Formats: sequence, C-alpha cells, structure tokens
Amino acid sequence: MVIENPLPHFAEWFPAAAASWLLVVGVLIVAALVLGCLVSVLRYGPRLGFTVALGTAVSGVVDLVCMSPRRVAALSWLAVKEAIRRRVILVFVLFVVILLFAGWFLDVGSSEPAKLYLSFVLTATTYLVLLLALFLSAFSLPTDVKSRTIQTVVTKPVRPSEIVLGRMLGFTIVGTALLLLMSVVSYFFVTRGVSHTHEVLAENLRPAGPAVDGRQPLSGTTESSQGHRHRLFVDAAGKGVIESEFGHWHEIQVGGTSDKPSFEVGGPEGMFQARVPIYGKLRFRSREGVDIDRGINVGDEWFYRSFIQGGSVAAAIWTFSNIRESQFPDGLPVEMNIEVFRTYKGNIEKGVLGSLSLRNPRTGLIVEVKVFESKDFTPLFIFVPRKITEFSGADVISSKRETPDKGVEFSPPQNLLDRRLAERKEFDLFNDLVADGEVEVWLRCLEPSQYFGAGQPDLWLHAADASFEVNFFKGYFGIWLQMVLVIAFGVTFSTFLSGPVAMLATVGAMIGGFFSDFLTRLSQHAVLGGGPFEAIIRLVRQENLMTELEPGLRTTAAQMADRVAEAGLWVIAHILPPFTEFNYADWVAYGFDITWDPWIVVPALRALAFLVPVFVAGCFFLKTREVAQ
Amino acid sequence: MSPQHAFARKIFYLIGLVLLVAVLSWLGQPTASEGSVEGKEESASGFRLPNLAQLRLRYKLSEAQLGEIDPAGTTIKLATLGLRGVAANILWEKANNYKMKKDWTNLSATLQQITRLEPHFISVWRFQAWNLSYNVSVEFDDYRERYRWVIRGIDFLRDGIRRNEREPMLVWDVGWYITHKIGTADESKQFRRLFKEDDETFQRWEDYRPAADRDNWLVGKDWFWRSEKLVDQGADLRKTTPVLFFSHRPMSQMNYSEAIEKDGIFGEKAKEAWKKAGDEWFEFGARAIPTTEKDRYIHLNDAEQFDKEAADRIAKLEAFEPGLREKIRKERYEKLPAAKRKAYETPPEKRTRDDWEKAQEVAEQLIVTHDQLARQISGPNRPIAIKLAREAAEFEKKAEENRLYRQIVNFEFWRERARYEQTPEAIFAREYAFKGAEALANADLIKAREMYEQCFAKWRQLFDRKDFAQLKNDDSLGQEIVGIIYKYRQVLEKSDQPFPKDFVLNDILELHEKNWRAREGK
Amino acid sequence: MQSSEVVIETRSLSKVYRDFWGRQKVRALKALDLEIRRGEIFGLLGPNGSGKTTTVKLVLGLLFPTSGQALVFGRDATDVKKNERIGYLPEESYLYRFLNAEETLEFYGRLFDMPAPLRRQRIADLIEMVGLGWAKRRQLREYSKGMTRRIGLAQALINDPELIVLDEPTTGLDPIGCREMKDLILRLRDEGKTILMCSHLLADVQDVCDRIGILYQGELQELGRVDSLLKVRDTTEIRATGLSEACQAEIRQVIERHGGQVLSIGNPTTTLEELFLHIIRESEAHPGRRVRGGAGNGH
Repeated sequence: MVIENPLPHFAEWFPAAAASWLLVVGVLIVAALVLGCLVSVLRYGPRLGFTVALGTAVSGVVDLVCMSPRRVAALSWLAVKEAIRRRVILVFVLFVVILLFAGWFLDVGSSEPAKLYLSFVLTATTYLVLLLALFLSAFSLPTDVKSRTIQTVVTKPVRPSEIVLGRMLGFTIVGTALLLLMSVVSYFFVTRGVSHTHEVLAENLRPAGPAVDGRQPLSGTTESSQGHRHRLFVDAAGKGVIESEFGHWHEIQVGGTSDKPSFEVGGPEGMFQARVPIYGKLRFRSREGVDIDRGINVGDEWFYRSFIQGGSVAAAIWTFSNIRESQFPDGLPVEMNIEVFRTYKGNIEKGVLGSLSLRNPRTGLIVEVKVFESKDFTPLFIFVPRKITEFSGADVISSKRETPDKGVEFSPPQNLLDRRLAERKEFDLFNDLVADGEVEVWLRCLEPSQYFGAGQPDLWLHAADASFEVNFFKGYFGIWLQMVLVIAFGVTFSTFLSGPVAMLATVGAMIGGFFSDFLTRLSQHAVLGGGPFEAIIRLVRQENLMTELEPGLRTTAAQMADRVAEAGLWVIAHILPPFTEFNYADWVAYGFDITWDPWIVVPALRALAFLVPVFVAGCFFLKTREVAQ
Repeated sequence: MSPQHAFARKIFYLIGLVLLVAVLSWLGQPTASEGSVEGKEESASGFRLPNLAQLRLRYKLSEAQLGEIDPAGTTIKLATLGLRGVAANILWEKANNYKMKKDWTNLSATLQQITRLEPHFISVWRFQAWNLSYNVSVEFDDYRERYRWVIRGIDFLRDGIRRNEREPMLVWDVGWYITHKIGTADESKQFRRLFKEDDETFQRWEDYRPAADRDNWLVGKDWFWRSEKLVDQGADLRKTTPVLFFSHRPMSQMNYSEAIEKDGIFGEKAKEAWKKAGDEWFEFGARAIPTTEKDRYIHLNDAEQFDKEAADRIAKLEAFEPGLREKIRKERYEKLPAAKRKAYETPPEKRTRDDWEKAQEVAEQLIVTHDQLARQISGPNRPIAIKLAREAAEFEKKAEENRLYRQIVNFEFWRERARYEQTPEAIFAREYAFKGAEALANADLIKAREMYEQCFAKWRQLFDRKDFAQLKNDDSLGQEIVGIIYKYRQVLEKSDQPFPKDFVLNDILELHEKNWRAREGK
Repeated sequence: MQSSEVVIETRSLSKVYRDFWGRQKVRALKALDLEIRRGEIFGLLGPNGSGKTTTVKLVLGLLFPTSGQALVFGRDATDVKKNERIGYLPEESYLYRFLNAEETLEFYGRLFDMPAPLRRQRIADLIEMVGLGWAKRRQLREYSKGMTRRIGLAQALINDPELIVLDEPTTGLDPIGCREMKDLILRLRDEGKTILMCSHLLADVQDVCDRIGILYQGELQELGRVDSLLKVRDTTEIRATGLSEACQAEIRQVIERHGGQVLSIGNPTTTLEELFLHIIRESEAHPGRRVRGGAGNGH
C-alpha cells in the first residue's frame, strides 16, 4: 500500500504539534481580539468600545467554562429529535438503494474485487454521510432563528456555547448512529458481494507425476468464476492446494474415489485481512557503496519509489527498531511490494532475480537469507526463520558508509569489524542479527542493468493479524472524523449566516479541505499554469499550461495579483482541515491494520485541533449576534 | 413591496415559463416520420426550422441510434445536474493521477466512470484504451499481467463499441490492438500463445471459432472487416487515410501467413494462407478508394492498365513520324548556348555545382512532351495526334497518381510477396530454413547444414523460374536470404568447412550483401 | 404589594435597525427610560410597530441596544444569568412543533438545570394548571392556537420565575381563555411576581395592569397608574341609586348653580380607548413630545 505522507508516532509528533497548535491558536485569539475591539470601537466609540469588547471576551470565556452538561444534553436531545423529524432515515434508504444498484458500477472481474468493493462502500458512505451532516448542521440554527423558536430557548439561562455544542453533539449522535448502521450493511454487502467458489471438474485436470498407491497427483485449473480461475494441485495423498489469484485463494476438499474424485471448494480466503505492519526506515546504498537517502530515478513522474541497480552493491535498506524476540519467536515474516524496471528485455518468462539479506547494525554481519524471483505490484512473502541454516553465500561484514560534509564516516568503524563472524554456518536471528532490537533488511537486485524500486512502506514486517471486522469499523472512524468536522463547520457557519449561505460556506470549506494538498501546491507556485488570474487568462485565450504568456502589462498584473491570491490560498489551505488525511479506505482495502498509534490517535487529535477553534468561533459568533430579527 | 407588484411579477414569471415550455415542446416534438428515418425529412421540412427530433435523426445522435442504452450511465449523467463536463474533467485528472501513482485498480474504475459520463466521446475511449493496452501494460514486469492489461484495453474499446455501434475507428482499434499489440510487441511470442489459450476472453467476446483459428492476426482481421463494413454503410472515417484504413485487413492475412511460418507451420496450410493473402490483396486493389478529392476514387490495381493505355497511345503517336522526338531533342540541343552544353556534356562526377544546375536545366529543356511532339506533326493526322498525346499524358498522370497511393501501403511489394510465397519452392525453402535454425539451436550441425543447403536449392529454383525473373532484385527478400546464408556460414565455420566457391546463391550475395551488412552494422 | 425594588430599568434605551450595509432603516426605540418594580403589572401599550416588542426583546437580551442600557435584576440584559428568574411568553408561542407538551416542558425544564424530581413535579403541575392534561402526548403541530398559547404559558412558568414577560398574552384566545389568562396574571401578581406585558388590546391592559406606558413610533407618550391616567380631572361622574325624579332635578340645579353643566347621567364608558386615541392625535400634532419614565412619575 502506498503511504505518501507517513505519520510519526504520537510521542514524537505530539510536543511539536501541540506547540505549533498553541502558537496558531494564540495568533488567532490575538487577531480575533484586535478585530473585535476594532468593530466595537467603530460601533460604540473608543471608550465604550473597548469595555464592550473586553466584556464580551470575558463573558465568552465564562460561557465556555461554565457549560452545564444537563443543558448541553437537553440541546443535543433536541437536535437529535429535529434530525429524526427531518427524516434522516431517508439517507439510509438511499444508501441501501445505491447498494442495490451498485452492481452496475462494480466489476467483480476486476483483479482486486475486494479493494473495489471496499473503496466503493467507503466512498458512497463518505459522500452520503457528509452530505447529511452538511444539510443537518447548516440549516438547523438558521431555521430556528427564522421560526423564532430560538427566542424561547435563549431567554432561558442557556449559554451560546451550550447551544453550539448541543447542536454539534446532537447531529454527531445522529450521524454516528447512521454511520454504524451503514457500516454494518456495507460489511455484509462487501463480504457477500465478492464471495464465490469455483467448480472443479475432474476431466479438466491432468496427471502431474507418477501415481502413488494408485492415486494420481493432478494439476489443472478450476472453472471460471467472477472473471478468474485458479491453478490447482492435488497430490497423491489427495490433498489439494489452490493457488492464489486476484488476491485470494480457496480451501479445497478432495473426496470421492481415486478414479472418480470429487472436489469441494470453499469461499475466498485472504481477501479480507488486517495485517499489522511494522515499518522500517528506508535508506539506499548507492552503486559506489555509500549510504544515501534516495536511490536512482528511472524516469518516473512520481518520486515515491526510487530504484537500485542490479548486479552492483546498490541496495535498499530498511532499518527496523524495537524488534523483540517475544514478538517474533519463530522468525521474521517479511513482506514486500517492489517495482521492477528492466533496461533490457532479458528472459521475459522469468522475473528478475533479487535477494534479501539481514544485517546486524552493530557488528556489520550480513546474511543473505533468500534469493527470489521478482513479481511487481504483488506482495512477496519471505519468512526469515529463527535459525538461519540455509543462506546463499555473500555472508560478509560491512560498515555503513556515509559521506557527510566532514568526510567519509563508517559505522561501525571498519577496524572494529570482526571478520570471523562470517565464517559460521548457522546464525540465530536474535543473537546474531538483531542488536538492541534493531535489524536491517537489505534488498538487492541480482541481475546487472535491471532495477528494483521501492518506497519506505513497500517492505514491512507482518507482525500480526488483527481482526478485519475491527479494521473495517476503524475505516469508518475516518469517515466519522470527517463527519464531525463537517458538522462543526456547518454549525459554526450557521451561527452567523443564513441556511443556504452557511451550506455553501461549509461546502467551500469541504472542497478546500479535500483539495488542501492542491491548494498548498498552488500557493507555493508549484502548479503548472500559474495562479488563478494567470489561469483565467490562459482559459480565455485558450493557451495551454506550458506556453510562456506574452510579456506585457496584463501578464505582469495577473502574476502580481496571483502573488496576493497565493498568500490567501496558503492561509486557506492551512486553516481548513485536510479531509483526505482521514480517508482510511486504502488501509481497509489493501488489508492493513489501521494501527492506533499513529493512524487513529494522530488524525483524531488533528481533527480535535480543528474542532476546538471552530467550536469556540461558533460560540462567539452566536454570542455576538442578535437572535431576534 | 405592494401586493399588486408581487402579483404582476408572478404573472410575468408564469408567462415566461409557459413560453419556454412551449418553445421547448415545439422543438422537441417527435417527428411525424419517426419510422422512416433518413433523407425524408427534407421534403417535409420546407421552410420550417427542423425540430430537435429531426435533427437528432438526421445526424444520428439519438441514444438508441448511437448504441446500446446504458441506464446506469444515464442515471449518473442526470445526477451530475448538468455538470457532466466538470465531473468528467475532475475524473480525468484523477485518472491521470492514479496512472502516475500506478494505482491500476482505481485507474480502471475511474475510466469506467468517465465513459459512463461521456459515452459518446470517441477520443476518450480511444485515448484511454491505448493507455491501458500500451502504457499500463508495460508497467508490469510479468508478461502475463501485461497480456491481461492489453486485453483490458481491448475490452474497454468493446465497451465503447457497445455504446457507439456506428463508430468505425473503435472497431478498427480493436483490430489494431489484437493484431499489432499482440502480434508485434516484444512479447509477441508469449502474447500470441496466451491469446490462443485464452478461453475466457473468447467466451466473453462470444467468439466461438475453432481453437486452431484463434490466431490474433485472423481475429484482428475480422475486426478490420467489421470496421470496413461500417465505413461502407456510410460511417465517417474521421482523420484516417482511407487507403491505409482499407489495407489493414489484407495485411493481417499477410502477417498471419508470415506468423504461422515463424511458428513452424508450412505445407498446404501456409500455401493456403499466402494464396488467400494474395487474393485479398487483389481485392483490396480492386476496391474503390476515396482520394483527397471529393467523390473521386481510385483502384490500386489500375496502374498497369494505365501504363498499357499510355504506351499504346504513345506507340500510335510515334508511329506517325518515327524518330521525330529524337529530332526535336537534337534541334533544341543545338540551340543551347555553348556553356550550357559544355556543362551538360561534362561527366556527372566532374561537374561543379554550377554545372549541376546548368545540366539540370538542359535536361529539363530537352524533355519533349507528347503534346509538343504531336504539335510538330502536320497534315491530317495532326488532330488525331494531339488527341492521342493528350490521352497518353492523362494516362501517365493517372498511373503516377496511382503509384503514389500504392507507395503508401507498399502495394507492389506485398503483391509480389504473396505471389512468390505461395509457390512450393518458397514454402519449402522457408521450411528448410526453419528446420535449419532449429537444428542450429540444438547444435545439430550436420542437419543444420543439410537443411540450409536444401533451403538455398529451393530459392535457386524459385529465382530461376521465368515468372519470377525480377525476384532476385527484391531487396527485402534478398537481405533476408543473406541473413540465412550468414547462419549457414556459422554452421560451416563451426564444422570447420570452407564456404563453397560455387555457392548456389552467389548472385544473391553479390546483389544484397552490401546492403545487408550496412543494415546489420557488420 | 409593590415594593421599592426595581426589577427592570432602562436607561435611555435606543434601538436603530440597520440594513445589511449598515444604513439606518428604522429608529425603533428612542431613549426609553423606564423603571418597573417588584410586584407590579406593567403594561406596554401601543399600536403595531410602536416599539413594544423591541423593548421587550431588548429587556430580554434578544436584541442589543444601539445605545443606552437595559438592566434586569440589576444585571445587564445580555447576561444569561438573569434568565433563571425570568419567564417569557413570546408573541406567538415559538415552540418546537415536533415535540409534544411533556417533551416541550421537559426540554425547557432541563435548560434551567432543574433536578429531575422537581422538574417532573413542576411539569405535572403546569400541565394541570393550563388544562392540557388530555393532550400532553400530542405533538404541538396538532395543537390549536389556544392550546399552543397555554403550553407557551406553561413553558414560561416552568422555572417559577420572579419576572414574567408576556408579549400579547391574549391573542388567539377565546373570551373565556382571555378571562382565564387575565385571572392568572392577577394571581401571579398576588404571588408577588412582577409582570411586564405588552399588548395592543386596551381591554386587557385596563383590566389587569397597575401601570401602563404608551408607546407610539418608538417614543414613550404616557406613563402612569391606570387609575390616575383614566381619571378625567374636570369631569365628575355621579352614579347613585334610589334617587327620585325630584332629587335628580335638584342635583341638576345644584350643578347649574355652581356654574357646571350636566352632560349626561348614565353608565360610564371605557375611556382608555379615548385616552389612547387622544395621545396618538396629540403625538401627531406635536412630534417629539416624550415622557420620562422615572420613579414616581404620573402619580
């Protein structure tokens, strides 16, 4: 699975993140105070203005601190009632209808049907729930203001903060219930949708080797189902194996007599998993034997993976830490996903050969564990046993060589290497290769002039298997976070805007959030075709993105205006929550466990970091507006 | 706002609505002649503006006429609330992004969504099918995966055809992918094998031909044929050159014949294949092919006939006053200034740049056209001569034009090739060459030598045939044979034998070895 | 029963409505000075658009004054704390129509942070009091106008408020309902509560209010005790029974001797209406005349 923006663990992330959050919030508070004073002074004159502004600020803080849980609960309960009254259940009905017709869009013959199905349900749920959250939150308060029911409420000892929080909580409760319902339905939809078996016809199997005790080993393929078939082997003992294809395999039971065997094939296995990965830190060794951050670029537009040259000392090296014997008592299950790049055709019926080695970072001992045939875009599994007795030469001792500014540096120093280590015939994983929980995994390409490419998350240790069901619901947690953010933005906008305008503003925030990556790049001048004004000129004049604009006053003016717009975009891109970060569809679809730390904790805190200021802003907006018109 | 004002406004809106609806319903009313479609509405329309339904019929734009109606696509189109173009654009961006990030599953899913939104945008189908079959497939290292993606691209095109049944270029593309992507890629050997074994695809395509005929060239040929049918029914070729377009079907038969011989199939089957190729090439030559001029067609087979007609008239013309042409030339030559004559007489290798230009001018001045010749004839024959001259020039021009078109598809080369390849000599020669190479690969030098020698003997026989007198000048065949001779040399070298002085194909070596060496860089 | 404690005090309270661009649209209230004391029923009287509701909303903190100040229980009107001692019945009962009577009272009760047992007791009492026991499980959307009014009143009394603000309390009620409402208002006063009501129905105000203020075009035109306002000083009304014809003639003579003139002798008329119309006529004749509503004014 591709992880383009890896998250640091909570412990590493939190201090710096919290500090920068406090800084931003501090700046925002000061800005809000200054702005509030300014507005107040304009309205009430200098002397009274300051008093009013400061009084509002103080009582606002009091509002936040003195919230009564009972009142908040009552207001949430009202929001829930209102949502039910506005027939949110229709959204669920719509969802079910979409699922009923989903067959139109989903191709079970796709090579990764599970991924397609999961992406589909997660996307459909996201859109529906966000839409629901949008409509509920943006229209609720304005409707109350318009129907004046709000007047009956605010003449009770209710604080604006309680109204805002009550709304947010109430809609969140409704959304959560709906999301739970949808997730359960989706789960069954997905598991049912891709479930299938294959028929196996005895007449389509060929003998594979000599018969033992009158029983013939057989090989062949299963019949086709959902656009694919599997290769199958039945040994003389009558034990059948079905090969993995399209990301899954099946169990097979062989019955019947030896000359008239019958076969029973089970449902798909391995389609839905939640592997708990342990990721290492990736560095590369260049052809010159120096350790560097990136490998070679073979001309890809995308810099995610970089490549190592085959038949040289070049290697991709992952350093894993905290590898404990208690966690891997039998050995290390290494899984990887590498890309192959050939500069000449070679033998196209065979994959390019590669090797996997382990290295002890303290002693420098390298043991080549396995030579394998590559296959790209498909995970490869290599199990490194506890006792390594079979290894293919190349057992050497090597230092890590780096060339920082001050010169060449070796770790460990070359004169300290114990060369006798390599002469042994058996190695123990933990005694010989893991040092203080640290071990390096080296990937090499063995064929000259062929290349292997990898990015940091392309090789991992398969630490455990978590429950797919739990992971599935964790995937929905991402949607939940997005929903809560939309509700918060919707309610906050609706505290000072009319319903439709609040909705548009929230949609704007969502779109900005979904494209915050693009906005950031746009603001950094990293997008072809220039900023918004330049783009308008190009659109009108039908010029493509690459041509230089005619120099002149118009171009200069547009580009200068773009500088200003870019600054604005930068701010917008940074104050809107990056919605795409809460999208866990890939994890669920590719079968990776969404680990709590950092993938749940950090995004949840990030969402909270947005929620708090948005909530506070909502309180102040509601406090400073006249609810009667 | 006063109530009267508000009421007036409502009435105003209402009238506006009614007007709009009236215009729309008038424009959109179904034609009276819904059943009888083409050509008839002109008489009915008269001065009337054609309504939408009529226009739709005339330009064949109604969904049912374009292809299969897709309820899902229509639903999605409606769901975008008129922002279909924007949505398709966003999806296109997304598809590009998925492609860049090598997320193939999402790429194909997104492509499907795009085509649901824009089912009649032909370039989308063509561009993205190419993407799948050509660009995505090579990203994979495993040739089986590559093959899968080639087929996926073809399936994508077939989806496009279902929605656009009258679009010849989509059908043609399917033919092209099946023939050329599978048949000429680096992995063509593996691809052709996988294609033959691909029961699922044939089943999905509802193509129930016998397993022996599952050759990609033959399957592709059928698709070319289907696209030709569509063009014959009046579909637009868009920007494709017609002569190229129509050449692909017979070319596929040629390629098929070549391919089976590469696979080691000779004898009657090869002969049949080449014969069929020759026949189809002839049919191709007999087909009326549109030229760049509107409503003017040519037949590639006609060039020889034009030659004959022209020669016939020239002979008649020259018969009036034999030697006249030469006489005129001489007269003209004598009138030239001395400097020019000197330049002209200087042997080409000694000419200066200035001489070259002068000589060129002289050569042009010395050409006596048929018309000039005819006008020198006096007496009663003069009008006949002028007519003959005009006709001769016309036929020469036609023949020249015809040859220009022929060159585009290498017409004469392939015509000749099909002719000689179906002779028993050529088929045996090729079979022996194949066996020779096989033996060489197995290090069976004795057999290899024997096979090669038999091969050369067969070629000799062919070259000696009267009806193939010109064949040894054929550069492509000649070089191919030189290549085989070099392999034969290897065999001899390995068995420590000298190359025979009186080699049976010495004339071929003499003619083509230089070019072959140049090409091979030896 | 009136004490000297001031419950509501406005100090030169003004409100200008502005449009989206900040341009002045309407001067809804002009420098209103008013004091309302504990235990009195104060009526704000005026035609539609005279500024009654604006005053009420300013007092409740639903609107913010353009200048001046409104104090309730000595606190600023925007302070939510004051709401704990206030009950408000809006012009039309602005209630959530998807709730039923019990749910409505439950909801507002919780907003007062009332403990559950007290809340339940109070809800039962109030439903009993407004006589909606038979319809307490029906959604408010099914209620008639009168029923909505009653549940609105119940809602306003849920916290046993010290100050009750009633905006047009009798609109939509039938004569019996009106009478009941007025009786209730008097009873509440008797319980020691302060009541601020505004109305354009003179009869209501005359019947129950201790003091009234008459607003016209945002200005306070008249302020005082109802009885003193209605006392026409140079008119004497004599009502007696058991007088003979001769006695009546004698009285006439006595009056004429003192230089008076007998207008009529008979039943009295409602004169608040006359007063009201008079004030409006006066105000149109002399724009800008305003009454300052300080303590003890109009006695």
